[in-house]
Amino acid sequence: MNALITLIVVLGVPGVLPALAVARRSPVVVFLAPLAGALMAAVAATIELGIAGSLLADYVIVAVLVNAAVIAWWLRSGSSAQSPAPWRWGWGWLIITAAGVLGGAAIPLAALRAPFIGWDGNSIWLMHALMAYGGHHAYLAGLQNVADRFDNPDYPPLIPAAIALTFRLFGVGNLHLGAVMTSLLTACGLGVVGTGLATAVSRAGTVSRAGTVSRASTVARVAAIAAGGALCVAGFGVGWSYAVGGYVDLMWTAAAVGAVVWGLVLPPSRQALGVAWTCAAVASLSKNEGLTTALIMLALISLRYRPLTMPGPQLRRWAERVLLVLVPALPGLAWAGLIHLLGIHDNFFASPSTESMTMRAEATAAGMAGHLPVAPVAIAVLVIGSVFLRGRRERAGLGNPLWLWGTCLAYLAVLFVTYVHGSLEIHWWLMDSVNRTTDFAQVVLFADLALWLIIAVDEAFSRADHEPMTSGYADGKDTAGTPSAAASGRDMSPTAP
Amino acid sequence: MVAAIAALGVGAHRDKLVIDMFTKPQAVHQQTTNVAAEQCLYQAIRSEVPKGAPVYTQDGYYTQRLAELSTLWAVPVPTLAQARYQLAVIPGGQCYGLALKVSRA
Repeated sequence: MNALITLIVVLGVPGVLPALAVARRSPVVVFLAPLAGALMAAVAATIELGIAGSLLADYVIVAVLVNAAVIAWWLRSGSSAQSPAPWRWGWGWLIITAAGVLGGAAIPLAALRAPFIGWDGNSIWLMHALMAYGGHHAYLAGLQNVADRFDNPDYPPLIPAAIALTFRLFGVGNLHLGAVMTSLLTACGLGVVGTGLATAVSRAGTVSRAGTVSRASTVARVAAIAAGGALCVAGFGVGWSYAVGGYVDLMWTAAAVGAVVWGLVLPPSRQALGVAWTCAAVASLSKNEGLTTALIMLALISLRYRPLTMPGPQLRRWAERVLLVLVPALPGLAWAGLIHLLGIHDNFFASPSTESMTMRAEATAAGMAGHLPVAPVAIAVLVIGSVFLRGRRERAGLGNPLWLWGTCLAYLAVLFVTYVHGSLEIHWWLMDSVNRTTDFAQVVLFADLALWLIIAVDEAFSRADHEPMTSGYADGKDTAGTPSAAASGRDMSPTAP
Repeated sequence: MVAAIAALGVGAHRDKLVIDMFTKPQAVHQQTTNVAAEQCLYQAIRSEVPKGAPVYTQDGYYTQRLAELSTLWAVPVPTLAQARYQLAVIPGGQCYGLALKVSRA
């Protein structure tokens, strides 16, 4: 309960305005707000480590500055800040969607009844949280202590910062609070994915000429909410007991998949981009793999929003693409740079491995394949969906599935290279970690399956009298790259369910 | 559609297994004991070791746990020669079947 209070009051409340500014009136705000708060806490922890102060003081400063900036932006933008989002949620569907996905994300938390703290939950995340809780000198001395090198001191600060804030509020009388906070933030990340899936169908829903949503669309939307909730449960299934034992692997995975769904699947818009950026920043500050994956995703998102074929001044276009990657990656890169400056590093690449590359590669391929049973199913569904549902997907303005698959394959390639070139004994390393490092690939493929399912239901239940969704722009944007009025002004949801 | 539902179902079933695993009374009892022991060791370090003391925590399975629980109180050092105290976890009744052993280095 204490971790939940921290999540809502300490992280969620300061995150509401930024989340609203990013996503507007959307059920994703429920899950995005705590993540935005955690992101601000991570930035505060970076300041605490790099400059001075205590986490709480730095967090208050960061939260006040961010919220003031949002308010100033709102006041300055005036009516333009109120421009219609590409989706407009009626309150009824908004509440049903948020409640449905929240229900799915909450079910796995039943496992928290047993106060289980896993090995990394203790040796890495609780330890870093205690350091962050202690203020600048304790944090710096702790991470630089060579006797504590086993704790991967270069790991990013988002989860330790969130846990340390919980300790600041309730004391260190219950170490299990750390694992609970990690699971709650994981649930929020999966909630962002689930609401993203529901948003996909809110765009794809069929609207009758009278302006009312047809029964088919209602069925599709209910199916989308169910799929979003199921994805949350299945995501925790992928994370296994680690997801409730204080491990961060599913947490960064959930945020990263959120970035994929909002940035590479949903129709391009400022709102979807903002949610994707927030999720990518959260992933980049949650674990080292999260930063690498965030950079991959952000590069693909920039190419989607600024395609290579787009006419115009090339230099400016490339500058925009670079900015689209760098701006959201800045917090994660700042942490990585700070850690490098302080001379802090882990043991993964400490010395060259004595094992042969071939042997390491074979072991890695076998180890990774063993944890991707969902891949053959996802490939089959991708092929079938691309043949039979491609038109429906395009009409909905959803991104080409190659974006999602590209992210997945690029991540697996980076993971493969990391294992092959790392210094730890490969079989032990794989046995200890590959079931968790493949979380991202598994959950992103589950999200793809859920998406095809939603599109299939929508297609099956759609009526012949629906209007075309877009006004000739496949991705719902005009030639300037902004959401078209036709696409953004259409209300896909009834005011009441 | 069937394949997608089946795959999501398998994923959800995996989570059900985790929930079942952690909601059994024995599991709740065991984990409650474990975390209480950890919390007890955390307090024991604070009551038996002077604040800021350099400590040697190399104790096999409990090395990392002792270093973690010393955080913000004692300072783990890499060699025994640098330490003032050596910490170890031994079987005993102090902390739910475990006890903290503090010896001069």
